[in-house]
Amino acid sequence: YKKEGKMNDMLTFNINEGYSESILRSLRMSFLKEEDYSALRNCQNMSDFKMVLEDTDYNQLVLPEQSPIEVARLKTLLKEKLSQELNYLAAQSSEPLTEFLELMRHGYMIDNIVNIIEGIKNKVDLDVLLKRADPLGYFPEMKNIRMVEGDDYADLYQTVLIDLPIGKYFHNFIEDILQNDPSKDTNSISAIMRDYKPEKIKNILKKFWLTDFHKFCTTVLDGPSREIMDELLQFESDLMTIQIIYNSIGNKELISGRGREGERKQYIHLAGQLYPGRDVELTMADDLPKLKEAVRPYERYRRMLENVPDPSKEEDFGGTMKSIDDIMFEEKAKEYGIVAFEQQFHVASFYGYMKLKEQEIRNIVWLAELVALNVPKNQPGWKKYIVPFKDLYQID
Amino acid sequence: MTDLVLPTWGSLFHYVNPYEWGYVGCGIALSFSIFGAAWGIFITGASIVGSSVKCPRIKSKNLISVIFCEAVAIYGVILAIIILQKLNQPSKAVNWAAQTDGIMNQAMFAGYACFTTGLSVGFCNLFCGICVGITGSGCAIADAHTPETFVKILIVEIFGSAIGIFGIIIGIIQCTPADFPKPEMLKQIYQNILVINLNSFP
Repeated sequence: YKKEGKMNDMLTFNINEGYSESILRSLRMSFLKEEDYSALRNCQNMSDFKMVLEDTDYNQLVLPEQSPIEVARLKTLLKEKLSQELNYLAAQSSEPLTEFLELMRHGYMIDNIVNIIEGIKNKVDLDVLLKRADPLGYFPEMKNIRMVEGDDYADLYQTVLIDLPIGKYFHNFIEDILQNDPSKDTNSISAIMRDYKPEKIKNILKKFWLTDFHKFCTTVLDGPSREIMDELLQFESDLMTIQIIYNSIGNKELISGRGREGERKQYIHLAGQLYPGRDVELTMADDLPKLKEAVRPYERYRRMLENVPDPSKEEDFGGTMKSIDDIMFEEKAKEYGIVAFEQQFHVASFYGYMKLKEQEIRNIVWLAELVALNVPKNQPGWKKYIVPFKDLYQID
Repeated sequence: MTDLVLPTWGSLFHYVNPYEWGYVGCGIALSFSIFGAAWGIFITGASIVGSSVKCPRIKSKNLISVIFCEAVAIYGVILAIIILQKLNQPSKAVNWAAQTDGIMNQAMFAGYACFTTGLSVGFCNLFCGICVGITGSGCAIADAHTPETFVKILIVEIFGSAIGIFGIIIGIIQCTPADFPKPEMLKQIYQNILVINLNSFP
């Protein structure tokens, strides 16, 4: 069938994707509101927490559990519910939407795989690792990763990793390494995969994933799906770039000239507004004022970086300063809540729903941990949650 | 058939039998209306079905959108029946080539009238059906989320459905004067011609 230019019109969208989209739109009702969060904040122990959750959409989920519910168990339950919803939607949909829904979750699959490989390196049992894996990124081939003898990761790559749905990102990763240093041969791949830290591998693989996802959204999809996903993915890439550069400011190894050109450049995301335009300035950025200068033409990013503490000076949080993570989460929640749900007859709402639900799970688990640890109620951490769709609920 | 010695582009229309114009018009009126109604129903139906999975209370109210789309199809059927009543069968004994200009003009007028009625009603209902369908889809989704918005969006749908009514009004006005020549009238005129010819023989 003709693969490009699908989902281009409000006239033909409902033929294939109407059912899935309207289920998703009605799933949007299930987000917790501000008053639910207030009720959760006022809980004294985990039994109260469970009772408050029974009044919300998570009713069927927590009812069968024993009364003082554990935080880890709660987190697993919530993520499994989201994963089941997405699986149902994928089962009801037909071609470009199925591939879209799968590509959306490759990020979580990357997390799972790298964690499992790390765990195997440290001789942790595979069953324990599988239990700890993120249900959103579940795929059946996860169980096939075995212990490799003599740390031969090239072999692991050729036998197992290349068959996975995310195998092409590993392929790009290894090609990238081989290109940068043509004298190295395949034995060095094992050395690299052994020596690189898992965070590093994750960041580089996610870069390839976002680029690939962006390419899918701009070539295969069409119409409002393409426009809105283009905007969302560019935003996501830019935020990851800014976060990586910000986090590298305190790190002497990455901030030196050689580190900036060589190693840090590997993390810069290619799909985004910052990449070809501000690449030179971003490469030169080795402290916070230079980073702010590099993103100055983009009003939104400039505003985000205004209140951020300088990591090289080890400033204390005071006044209006917020950490970069908080700012990133807030901006993302606003963007996904408003832009992803604006028009009808497009698929960006699936992506926005997944991200916002993830934010909600983060909120609930954060509050659950505070309740479980019996933190006194006047600490500022109690306010540290971001309500999805906060602005929209004030209408009525 | 009339006195056209040199064929021009107009002959293209003249040589088409007026009854063909009439029947094709009837077909267009019916089929395009049904096309529009069907398109509207599937667009709104998919959304209603999906939204009522998590929110079953919207099921009965949102069938109004489907009823508006169905009304569009009924307009098409009404007009098709009206056009068909105008198309009476010509007499078997009459030869078209021997007709006088007046009869031919009347037949051609009636044919064109029926054809364009079909065009106007058909396309009006096509776009009306699609419009009501897309609006109904949005209505189902909004109703599932916030019940107060149902009545407001229904007003938009009513306006959308009004354009189908414009089609049927104009269509009825267009095809009322259409009158194909009746067989008795033709026979009478033919007999008159025969009488005149017979009388002119020496």
